[in-house]
Amino acid sequence: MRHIEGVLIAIVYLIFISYAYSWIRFSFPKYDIIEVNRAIAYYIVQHKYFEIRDFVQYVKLNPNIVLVKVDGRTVYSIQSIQSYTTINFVFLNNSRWVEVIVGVRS
Amino acid sequence: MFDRRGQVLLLAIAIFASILLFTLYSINKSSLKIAKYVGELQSTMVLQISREYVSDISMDKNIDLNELVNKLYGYNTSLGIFIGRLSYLYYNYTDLNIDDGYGNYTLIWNIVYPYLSNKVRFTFYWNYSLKNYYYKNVEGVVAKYSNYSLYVEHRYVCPQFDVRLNPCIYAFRRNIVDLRYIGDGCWIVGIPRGSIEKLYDEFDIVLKVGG
Repeated sequence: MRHIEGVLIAIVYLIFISYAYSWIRFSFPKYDIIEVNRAIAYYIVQHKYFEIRDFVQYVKLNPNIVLVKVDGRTVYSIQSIQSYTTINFVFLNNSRWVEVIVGVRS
Repeated sequence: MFDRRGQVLLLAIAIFASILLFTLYSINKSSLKIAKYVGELQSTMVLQISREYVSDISMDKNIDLNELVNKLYGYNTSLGIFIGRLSYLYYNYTDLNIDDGYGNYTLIWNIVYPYLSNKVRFTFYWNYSLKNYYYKNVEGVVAKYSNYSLYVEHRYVCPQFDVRLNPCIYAFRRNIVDLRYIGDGCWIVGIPRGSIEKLYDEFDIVLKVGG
C-alpha cells in the first residue's frame, strides 16, 4: 500500500514534468527565430532593392537557415531538411511585391 | 521511502515516460510550424513601405498608402506575415532659404495586435547651411557658387531598434553641382548662387538645397 502511494505520486509528478516540458518547448519562439528576424530586419532597412543572390549570401551566414523561397521558388535549401520553422515577409521591390519565406532549423 | 518493487516500478515509469516524450518529440519533428513571433520584422515591413512611399512622394509620383496597407493585410492571410491593424500619420515640411534650410518627411505608425501595440516611425531629414562662396567656370561662363554644408539622415524607430542611416547622395545635374562627402552624414554641396538644386539619395528620395 505504501509503495503504491509513492508510485502514484511519481506518476503525477512525471505527467506534470511532461506537460511543463512540452509547453516550454512548443510555446516560446526559439532564440534563433528572434535572431533571424532581427537580421532580416536589418537587411530590409539597409537595402532599397531585394536581390535574391545578395539576400541568400547574407542569410547563409546564419547556419540555422535551411531554406529560402522567393515568390514560391526555392532559391536556397540545405540537403537534408528535417524540421524547420518559417519566417515569412514581403518586400516592396520597385513597386512590385516580393514574397519571401525563410526556413530556420527547429 | 520505497521498497524494492516500488523502486523498480518507479524506474520503469521513468523509462516509459522518457520513451513517450522522445517519441512525441520525433513525431513533432516532421511537422512544419509557422513562428508566431511578432517583432522587428513586422515593424520593418511597415518601415520599408514608408520609405517607398516617401520616395514616390518626393518624386511627385502618385502612390496610395492605403492601397499598400491593404496589400499587407492581404499577405496576412495568403503568406502569414502577422501584421496587426495599421493606422498612420504622415507629414512633411520644407523650409528652403538662401542661407539655410531643412526638410523632413515623417510617417508614424501604430500597429495594433490583439495583445500589444507598437509605435513605428520613419523619418527622412536633411538640413543645410551656407559656408562660403566661390567662383566656378561653367562652360565658359564664370558663375558665383554657394557652398553649403548638408546633413542627411534616415531614421527607423520601432520598439526593437532605433537605427540612423546616412545615405549616399547624388545630384540630378552632375555637371553643375559640386558634391563631396566629408563623413557622418555630412556633405559639402556647391550650387550656383540663388538656385534650388534637387539631389536624391540611394533610396531615391529627393531633397532640395538652396533658395
